[in-house]
This record gives sequence, C-alpha cells and structure tokens, in this order.
Amino acid sequence: MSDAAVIPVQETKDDAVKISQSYWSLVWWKFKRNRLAVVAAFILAAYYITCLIFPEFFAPYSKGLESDYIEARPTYPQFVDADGNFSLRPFVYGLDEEIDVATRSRQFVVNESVKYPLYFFVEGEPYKLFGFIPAKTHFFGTDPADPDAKVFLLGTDRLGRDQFSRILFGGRISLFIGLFSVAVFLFVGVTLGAASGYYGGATDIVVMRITELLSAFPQEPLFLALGAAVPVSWPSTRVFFMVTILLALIQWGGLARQVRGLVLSGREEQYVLAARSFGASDRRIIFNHLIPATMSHVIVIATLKIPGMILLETALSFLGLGLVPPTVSWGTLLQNANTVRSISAAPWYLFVTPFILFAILAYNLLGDGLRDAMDPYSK
Amino acid sequence: MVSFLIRRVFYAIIMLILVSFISFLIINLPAGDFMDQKIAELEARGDKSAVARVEDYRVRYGLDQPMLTQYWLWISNFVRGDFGLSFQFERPVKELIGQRLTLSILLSLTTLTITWLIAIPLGVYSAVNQYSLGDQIITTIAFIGIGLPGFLLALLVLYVAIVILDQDVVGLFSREFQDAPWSLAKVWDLLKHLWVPALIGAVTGTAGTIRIMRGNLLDTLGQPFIEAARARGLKSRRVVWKHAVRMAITPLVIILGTEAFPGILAGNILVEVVLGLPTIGPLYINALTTQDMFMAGTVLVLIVFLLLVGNLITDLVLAWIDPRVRLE
Repeated sequence: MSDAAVIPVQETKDDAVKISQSYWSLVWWKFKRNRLAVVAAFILAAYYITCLIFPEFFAPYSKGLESDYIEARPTYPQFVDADGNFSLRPFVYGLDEEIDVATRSRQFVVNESVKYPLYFFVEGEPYKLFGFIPAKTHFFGTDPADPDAKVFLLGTDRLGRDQFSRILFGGRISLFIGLFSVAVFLFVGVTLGAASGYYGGATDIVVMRITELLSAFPQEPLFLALGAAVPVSWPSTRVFFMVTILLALIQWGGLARQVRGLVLSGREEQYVLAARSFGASDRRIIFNHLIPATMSHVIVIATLKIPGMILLETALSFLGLGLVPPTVSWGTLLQNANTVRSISAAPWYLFVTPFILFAILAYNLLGDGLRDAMDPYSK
Repeated sequence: MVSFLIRRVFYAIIMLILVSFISFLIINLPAGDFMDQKIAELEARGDKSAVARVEDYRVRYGLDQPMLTQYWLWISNFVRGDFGLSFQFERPVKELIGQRLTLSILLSLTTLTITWLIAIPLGVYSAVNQYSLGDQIITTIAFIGIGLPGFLLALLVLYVAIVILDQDVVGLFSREFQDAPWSLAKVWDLLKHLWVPALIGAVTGTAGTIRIMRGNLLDTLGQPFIEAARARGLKSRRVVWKHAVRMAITPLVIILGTEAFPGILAGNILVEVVLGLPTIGPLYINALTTQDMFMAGTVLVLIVFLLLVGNLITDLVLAWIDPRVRLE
C-alpha cells in the first residue's frame, strides 16, 4: 500500500505539463507547426477583412460608380516615370481615349505625360461602414482635389466601373455564400445525422434513404438544374438565399452519414451510458455529449467544403443561372468574360480568377492543416 | 451472386423512377412553360402556322395536363426510347443528343487516358520513393491541382491562347471543317482541338488519382506478401508493378464506374461551355436556360442512369478482380 501511494505522486510530477494540456490546445500546437496552413489562415483573414467586412474602405470607389472610362485598361502603380525619375510616392498614368482605325473601336491608351499620384487614407466617396457609420476615408486613392484623377488598378467594365472595387465587393457576396451555405449544410447534416444515429429505427431509415437518393444525383448537373429553377423575377436577396440554401441541401447527405457513424459508435461509450444512467435527457445527451464528440471531424469537413460552395456559386452565376447583375459576386463578375470577344478585347475581366483561385487554395491548405492538427496524438 | 444482381437491379430501377420523377419536377419548376415564350415570340412575328404547330406540341406532349399525367406520358415514352421533343430546336431530343454523343465519349475517353497515363506512373513513383524530393514535388503539385477548378483553368487557357498566342482553341473543329464530311483532314483537325479540353479535364483528375494511387500503394507496400516477394529475391521493379500495383489499382476501378462512366454525358460541363465544345454539356446548360424541359430532363435522367449502371458494374468488377470482396 505504501509503495503504491508513492508512485502516483512521482508520475503526476513528471507528466504535469502534458496532463494540463487540453485536446484543443494540443490541436493548436500541432496546427501552429504547419507553416502552410498558418499562412493560408492569414491569407483568408486578409480576404475576410478586405472583402467581407471593409470593402467600402479598401475599395477606392463604390461598386456602382460609373465613369466615362468604358472598358479602360488597368493602370498599374509606378514608382519610376518615363523620364527615369524615381518617386517614393506611387502614381498611375492617365488614360487617353483613342479610336483604333483598323478595328474602328474605341480604346484607352496610357498617356505617360499625365501622372496621378496615389495617396493613402484619402477622402473619397462617402459610404456607411457596417451599414450605419458614415465615413468617407478610403484606404488609397487619387488626390480628391483633382476631379480628373482616377485610379483603375484592374481596369473598368462596360459601364466604366472600377474592376478592383467590384472584385472586393463581389468577394463579400461570394465569401459570405461560402460561410452561410456551410452553416446551413452543417446544421442540416449534423442534426439529421445525429438524430439518425441516436434514435435509429424509422428516423434512421428515412434519413438514410433520402441521403441515398441525393447521392444518386450527379451533384453539378443537379445544382445547375435547381439553380435554373429559381425564378428570374425574384428579388436579388431572395435569389441569393435560395442559391445558398440549395448549395447546402444538395450536399448534406455525406456529412449526415459520417455524423451518424460517429454518433452510432459514441452512443455506446461509457460516458454516454453514464450520462443516461444519471437521467440526462435525449436532447442533453445529443447536444452536450454526442455532437461535441464529432466536432473535430465536422470542422475539417466544413472547412474543406467552403471552397467547393464558393466555386459552385461562381460557376452557377457565371453561366447566368444563379445570381444576376446588379448583384455583384465573383460569379457575376466572371460573366463579363464569357465570350471570346470580351477576353480578347478586355482581358482584365479575368482578374477575378486569381482572387477566386487564391481563396480556394487557401481554404484547401487550411482544411488540410486542420485535418492533421485535429489528430494531435498521431506523430 | 444472382440474388445480389437481382436485388441491385431492382434497387436501381426504384431509384431511377424516383430520380426521374424528381428531375421532372425540378425541370418543370420554373413558372410558365417554354411554349408560352415560344408562342409569344411567334405571334410577335405573325407566324400563324408556327403558332398552330406549337399548340399542337402542347397537346401532343400533354403540357396542358396535370403534372402527374405529364410525367407519365414522358416517362412511358422515355422507356420506349422516345425522349420527347426539344422545343427550342423543334427536333427530337434523341437526335440532338445522338449527334453530340460521339464527341462527348471521345472527349471523356481522351481525358481519362491522359489522366491515367500521367497519374499512375507519378503515383507509383511517389509511393515507392516516399518523402524523396520528387515525392514532395509531386504531392504538392497534386495538392494544388485538386483545388483547381477546371472552368477557371479553361478561362485562363483561353486568355493565353487568344491574347498571347493568337491561336484558335474554341470548339472542336476549325471553321472550314465545321460541317464538312468526315475525312482524314477533319480527324486531324479534331485531334488538334481535342487535346486542350482533355488536358484541362485531366489536370483535376490527375491530381486526385495521384493521391489515391500513392495512398493505396503505400498501404500495399507495407503488406507481408510484398515483404515475402522481396525476401525471395524478386527484382524491385517486378515486386512493385506485378505484385503491389495490381493490388493497389482496384480503387481506380471504382472511379472508372462512379465518375468516368457517368462523366461521358456531362463530365466537365463548365469546361465544355467555356471552350464552346459541341458536346452534351453545353446542350444541357442551353436547355436549362431556355427551359427546354424534355432536353434538360433527358440529359439529367441519362446521367443518373449511367451513374447507377456504373455503380453496379463497379461492384461486379471489384468482386471479379478481388476475390476477397463478397457480394452479399
């Protein structure tokens, strides 16, 4: 007896550091060591700050501001002018309209004699931050005292609207769709999966048959057909919510199956049996014990699902079956580039693709990092 | 085996009935049918005989009947091989799909061949030389490739081809061969165009296949029978290709049945649309946008049909090549 009393004391002393670590802090430790995933997390944070929360601030113009510069080419910030003078303050060249005799089309050419310096935190178009705080400071822009000065970093569209600003505003809708549809997807998938696994019987049979039916459909064609069925006459917000919900509804089946499996095995765990013997209600067992146990798994699935959702929306709107202008999303912006003519005449419409690609890639890297991190006990 | 087959076929038929009904509902959801639009358009042009013809279609396909009757009319004809009429082109759906089917099959076969030719050797190399520099490069590229959406890639390819190289990559034929009868020159022209969409399709497919191949081969290479083969002094290459790869390749059969087979009809709809290919994908999108219901419904149901048949074949083939699989 006396021997046994001594040994545990020593053990706790040695393992003190390890034992005090919770599961989530181990996950965090492991995640931090994955450089790529951390970089991806920062990239995504930057996306969400610039596009989702503060596009009004980061964009030099509002998404609807039209100008006389129709399909003007991008003007990139310069530090050295045509004469070789270096200035620390970046500037953009002015644009002159010119008629191309050969093709009889009007286009803009860079005029190197006109320079518009760029300033940070300039006063520009007034806007409402978060929808209610009036402000007019923009992250960057041209001299507000010079009405001719314009900066179109990524060119303009057919109505002379600034592409760069519109890409930021489009990101707001597209990134939000990713988050929102995944939230619906999680809600439906986890609830039905957990109910199916916990109650079994008729609930289980019905839910599983529905998921089987869903999986019999090819996802992309089904989603396109559903998108086409959304009435064109609907107001844009309703179309937006409909598309979001559809995205979630065609995909929850796989998640529900996985959660069901986890719940089925979790149901027999000792701590769940203990909770039940203490008289815990079904609701308490499901929401406080079973669903939290599936969380690490579910978070990974959700993260890896978001890029797919963003892409499907982009694809749907690109084909003209989803969101339609004046709603600005990455998909509707990409619509500008849906003909060979527009790609050859105004290739800057394609600038939205790298924005989409980096977001997708960052999400995949983050999800991959999370998947490794969620299993912190493995080497 | 026989009872398994019967059960699965029975199950597939039930699924098909349900799926076809749901598809029909979805395709019919948009308010007002295609006919209303068409009639309004024709009346505006004052084409009396055409209006009468369209009214005739409406009666013949029961468009004035309740939904269930319409569905019954459609599906009973469908089973007999009459897929209905494309109201937009005023031609049978079967004929329109048939015209494009060959090119769709050709495209998906080419894509699949390219995918496997690239993916299997790379996956094997990656697994055999695990954690080597080559493996790191391959897995990184494969990782990026998996996230690359084909249609964005197609847009970028269009940009490079049109703006930088000044090349024509749209469609599957040059203008002079569009309506020309088949000849050697036309086939050559087709091949010159075909590789672009096939390669784009292969990029995403390759990435996934490399990952599967690598993962499975790593599992297989750790098995005792591989060790036994090595212990007997077999050449490393022989052990890998003859013993390990043969085992590790079975999951690719699943891909073949569940993705490649239904992919014949609409493997990469968006890429096909972006590149303007005369395949079935763009036909489907066009039917959806113009509410050409029989056309859209037929394509959707046919894809589901191929998917179910593909699943069934996959199960049978797996049982055949891997005796450990039991069909219950």
